[in-house]
Amino acid sequence: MSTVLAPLAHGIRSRALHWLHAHRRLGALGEAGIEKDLDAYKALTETALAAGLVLRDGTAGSRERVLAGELLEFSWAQLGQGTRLYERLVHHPMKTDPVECYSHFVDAGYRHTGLDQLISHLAAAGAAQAAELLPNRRLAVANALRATGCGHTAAVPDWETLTRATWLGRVLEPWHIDWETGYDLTHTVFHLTDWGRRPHALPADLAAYLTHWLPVWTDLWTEVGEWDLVGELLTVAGCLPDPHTEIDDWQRLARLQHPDGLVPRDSDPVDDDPATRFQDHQHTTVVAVIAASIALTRDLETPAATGPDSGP
Amino acid sequence: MIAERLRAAYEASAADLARGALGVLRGAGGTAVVADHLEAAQAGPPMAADAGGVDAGGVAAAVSAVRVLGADVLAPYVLVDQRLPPEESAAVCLCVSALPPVRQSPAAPPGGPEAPWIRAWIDWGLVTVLAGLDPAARPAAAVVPQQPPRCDDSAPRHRTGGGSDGDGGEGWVPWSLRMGQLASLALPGLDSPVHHLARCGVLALARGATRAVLRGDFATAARITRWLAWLAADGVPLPVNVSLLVREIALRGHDGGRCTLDLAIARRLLGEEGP
Amino acid sequence: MSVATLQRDVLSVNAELLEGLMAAPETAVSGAPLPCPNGAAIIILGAKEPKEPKEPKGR
Repeated sequence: MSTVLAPLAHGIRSRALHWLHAHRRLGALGEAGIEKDLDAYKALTETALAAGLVLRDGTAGSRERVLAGELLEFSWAQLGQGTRLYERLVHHPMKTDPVECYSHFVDAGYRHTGLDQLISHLAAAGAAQAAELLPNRRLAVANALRATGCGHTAAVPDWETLTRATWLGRVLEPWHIDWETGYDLTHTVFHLTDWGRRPHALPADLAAYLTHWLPVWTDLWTEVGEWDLVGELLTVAGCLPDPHTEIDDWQRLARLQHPDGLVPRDSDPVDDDPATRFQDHQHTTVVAVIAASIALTRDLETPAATGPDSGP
Repeated sequence: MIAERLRAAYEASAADLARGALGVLRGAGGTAVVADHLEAAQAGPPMAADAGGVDAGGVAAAVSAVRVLGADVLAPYVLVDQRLPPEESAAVCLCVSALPPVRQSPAAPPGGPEAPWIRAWIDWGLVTVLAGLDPAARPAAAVVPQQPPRCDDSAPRHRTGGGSDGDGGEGWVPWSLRMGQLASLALPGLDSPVHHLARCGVLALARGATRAVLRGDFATAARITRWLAWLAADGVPLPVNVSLLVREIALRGHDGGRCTLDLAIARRLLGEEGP
Repeated sequence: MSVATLQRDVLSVNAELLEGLMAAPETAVSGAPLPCPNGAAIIILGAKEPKEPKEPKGR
């Protein structure tokens, strides 16, 4: 990966973090709790994921570390230091989102004993793994159980079977994809590689398949301005054993990013109302943080090589 | 706009001619498609005058159609191993001499403009295939044009022309699109630097075809797929199932004209029968 | 059909137009798949989800 990428990714991440931090209260959960505001719950989870990745590998500057830490503290507080997650799981034990959410906090060093016990019990009973979910979501659950340590008394997941049940695992001809499938694909890679921590967990044939066709899908959705999906595809590239992205795609992302750090989800006009802006573009801004973080981590590991994608 | 109407007329004539060639390929139509096409145009009503005020006539469109299709118009004879009737050979020769191919290769892109250089290659293809089918024919000579820029799979995908320092190759997007424009060269019996570069550009061609399908541009997809089919016929391993690709384009994007002809030729190259 | 007749007619063949057709670009507008509303994924015989969670009922 080219070292021209690093300052670009740092800039994108820093601005995005600032925006998420500045507007975090627009994602507050309020008194009524998770069930009454699933959007806020989702946003808090995603923010925790992004902030955790910023802190994970030591590529962040001190200012970014402070922002990321405060975002995690805010999100965890909004979830009642884990109590709200626990209560949700007590009342809805077949739901898997609590363990998925919890895993991002565990990655960042947070714990809730009640959740540990209840999730472990449900995993040992097989309930967490049996709820009928999309195949890529099943990988999410398997990865979350592993990350939280709550799967230790459960049956070991059959990663190969779980992987081959996904769209990606079937290795179809590359034109059999649509927008929704694009997200299925990205999430499959995220969970399989634990957000880029374990690139070699990707089977070799899938890594080769992605290397071949990611440029096509990236180009396809770039052309129509689907920045959110493009950001996730860039992130996927960073999760491969041999990460390869084009500097042009990062430069475009940096140009698209607003001065305040917001990253627009698509080429539609961005609303002026702060609450609407947060609702519409928080996800894409989170994606930008994640994409940049994973790219920076991989950039750090790879010996500095002048890649052919660095442009003239 | 007169230019728009002329262009539409030329395109319509090409589509018509493609339908005729398709008929030969399927063994359904007549066997002197070009001759019939020109005669029909001569007998038909005059068309819009060109910018010079000269009545272009349907014949100009018909001749242009033959030149636009290039070797595609003779592909059925190559693929079905059918003898080229003398009147057909003569008709193609007329179309060649009416607007003679260039004697000297235009500069290849990025050094020179794309269009004249592409025409030089299509002309070369037509003349070469004609000479192969009818050695007695004496079409105007066509020079072997300069080779295209090479493709570099890891170059920025939209980079054109092979880089400013001439060192890096071209990105797969423009490179595969240009190969699509040269699809009439993807025929057995033709060999040139373009064919050599096709062998080196397998992934780029597969990416280009996939991108075109996903963009819903089935005509472009069919053109690029011509090369994939040609490579498959040559025994080159491919990262996509060309047979499935051809079927996909046929079911979702056939137009009964040039796209359908491209797919029919591709099927023949793959050793598959059927429309 | 004589060469002379043909050549008279094709003096007006527009070489630029010809080359333009040969080097015709790809379609200008992409038909890339775009997001569909959730309702586009119907489940035959699936339950209709309520808008609000149901409250428990007493006896």
